[in-house]
Amino acid sequence: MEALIPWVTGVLIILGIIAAAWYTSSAIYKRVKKIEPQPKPVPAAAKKNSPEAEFAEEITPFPVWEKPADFPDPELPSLYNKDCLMLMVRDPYWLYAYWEISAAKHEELKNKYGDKFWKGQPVIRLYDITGVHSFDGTNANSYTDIYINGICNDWYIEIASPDRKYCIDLGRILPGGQFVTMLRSNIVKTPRAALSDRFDEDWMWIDGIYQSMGRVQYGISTALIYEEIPSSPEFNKPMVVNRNKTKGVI
Amino acid sequence: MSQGYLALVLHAHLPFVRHPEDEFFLEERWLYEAITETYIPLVQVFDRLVRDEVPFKITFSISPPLVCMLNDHLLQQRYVQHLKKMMELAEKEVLRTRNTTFYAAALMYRQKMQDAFQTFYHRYNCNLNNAFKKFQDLGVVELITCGATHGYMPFMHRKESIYAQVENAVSIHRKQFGKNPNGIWIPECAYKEGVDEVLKDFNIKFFFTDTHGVLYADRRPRYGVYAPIFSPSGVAVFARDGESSKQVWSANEGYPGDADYREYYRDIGYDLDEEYIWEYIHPDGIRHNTGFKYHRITGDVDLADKEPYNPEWAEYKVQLHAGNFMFNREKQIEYLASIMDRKPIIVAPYDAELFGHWWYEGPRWLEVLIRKINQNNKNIRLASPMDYLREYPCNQVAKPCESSWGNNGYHYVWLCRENDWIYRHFHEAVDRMIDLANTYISAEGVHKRALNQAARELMLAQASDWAFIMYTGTTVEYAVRRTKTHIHNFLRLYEMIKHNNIDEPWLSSLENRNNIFPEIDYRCFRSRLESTAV
Repeated sequence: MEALIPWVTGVLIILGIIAAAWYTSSAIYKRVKKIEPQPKPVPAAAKKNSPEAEFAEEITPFPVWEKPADFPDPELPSLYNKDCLMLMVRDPYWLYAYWEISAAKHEELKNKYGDKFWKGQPVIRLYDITGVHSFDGTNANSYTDIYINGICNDWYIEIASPDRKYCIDLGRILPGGQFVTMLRSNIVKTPRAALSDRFDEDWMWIDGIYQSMGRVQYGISTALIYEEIPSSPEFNKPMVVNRNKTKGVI
Repeated sequence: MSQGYLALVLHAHLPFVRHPEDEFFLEERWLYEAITETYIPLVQVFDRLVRDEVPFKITFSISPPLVCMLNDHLLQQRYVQHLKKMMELAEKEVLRTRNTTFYAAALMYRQKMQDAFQTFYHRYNCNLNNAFKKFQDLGVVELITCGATHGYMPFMHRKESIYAQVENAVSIHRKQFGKNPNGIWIPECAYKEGVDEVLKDFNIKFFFTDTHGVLYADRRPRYGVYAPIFSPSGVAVFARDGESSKQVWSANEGYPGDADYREYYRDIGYDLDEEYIWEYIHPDGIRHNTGFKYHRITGDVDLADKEPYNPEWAEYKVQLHAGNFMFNREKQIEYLASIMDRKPIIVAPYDAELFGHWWYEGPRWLEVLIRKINQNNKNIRLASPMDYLREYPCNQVAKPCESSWGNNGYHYVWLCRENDWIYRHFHEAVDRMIDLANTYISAEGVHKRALNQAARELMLAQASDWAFIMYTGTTVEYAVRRTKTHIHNFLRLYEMIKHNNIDEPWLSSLENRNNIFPEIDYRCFRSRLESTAV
């Protein structure tokens, strides 16, 4: 034991020297730092974009200086006690959903299915409802189940192809295999990610172009023309030139 | 006769940053720096062009938060104080740099500060909105508006929210500039089906998207992005030309990265001894940019190895780059005109703050470009989208593609792990605000004030700037705090209104602090006929 004392003392002395050296060097560093260029706020581009990227946020907004807040941020409620399943589009290949299940709904499901309900596998059921007019849960083109964990309250959903309509259900698959919907989302449509293959064209005149013409009424017997030449109060609305294609009419 | 048109579009916007409680609030410097480095130099460029009778046309979008900040007396006073300090520093700098290679730049800064003071204080009476209105009335600037607080429209789950953004924007624009805006810069060029219908209701004639917003329309546009399309509601959509954007935007290939241009990241606010600079940085000793920068970009070297800035070399490059930009547009237009059966329009939109703040020589480049186009080039004419629509009132109809001008071209920047938490609060607050607006149809007195302030707080939270700053990951505290504080204020006001128990002194303090939109009417959030989810 006695033999250890010099060793321990030696180690302590060395540690002391290291600590002192560290302190001195950091103090020097601080002094030097004052007259040298600071590491500057990095523009977003340098962090997030590839070198070739040239998007708007590359050089905007201005860098934010760090200044500690005088008071803590107010805390926002983590729950609003409501039932909600919101589906949002991030890009042609990704959706985002967040949700909340109210206490009442919790109770309702528990009463209906018993305690086993909350032991079921939580699932997001993603319905492709492109071209479906009124989706009722049974008439989707197809659906995919995404297994999620039971504690999260949002999810990013990867999808296969752009320019399609989607809806999701948040539900549980009960031990017997039955899928029970807890919440249904709004319907979203993902953006295109390529040029359109539709080459047919509609053309429209700028609105107001006929404002000065006053009421034009002739050939009233020809129903088609009467419909296409609106009466004065309607003149502010755009007219679609191609009478066979009515897609552009509002 | 010209063969085609070039639409230069500058989008001027800063989030509403006003902190009466702290005289040295760092984020207020965003505004001061932008005024000194961007807005005043641009105003001076327009003034010189008008003086020399150079015909030109620029589309200038000025966001409502910026209009409100430029109008604000407190911020005007603070800016004048700030500018006086900078003039004082400029004098000291001339002495300090005598007989050094930095002397020419120091003289340049002294002159610039004096000119800025003359322009801001004497010529435009401390309110640059006066300048923009003047250029609009002279017909050289097409002023357009933006979302009321630069809210990201595709993520507004209720159309009422988009209505509120556009209604307030149009009303402020009309009051400030005396006429309805013909066009709008939809924040971040972020478009989603349905946004155009709201614009239509406010008689807005055109808006902008990124290239693919038009190119990927549901029917292939006959002229690509070189002519507008009409959205089905009849509002024209102009898309950004990638080629001309890249020459100016790109950090690597663009003009602003030239070795002879001024280096943004060397600033005496960081470089000089505290004994010298302390009066011109934050009183707590926090260092920040002062705008006095003496180095040029030099090349791919460490910040410490940057070489001195030479204003003459920079001016030479400005001439060169303006000529190059014009030459490229000329060739582009020549080619397009040869394959199109109408004149093409090239839309070149930029953040205004790029010019002067980031790219110090930007305003000068713009001036030289306009003068060159006017002197040498009969091929190109500067035009606004409205000029183009007057010449070509008949356009193809197609549904624009949902998109934004952010990284990856869609909504990723504003919906990612760093900022997705905000939307559940926004959506809840919007639902509640709509409920308030529909319930209290004609509130009066303190009740009405609380409702109006609730609308202000909600819209301030919605500014796309906060989500963007969170995405960038660089010092997000301020953005998080602003988002939480405004939503918190809103929720508190909501409860007070619902329980008819309004804390008037607190309401007054909020009205004083967050005083954007002095004439807001909370009913802008009411449900309108057929206004549904977007």
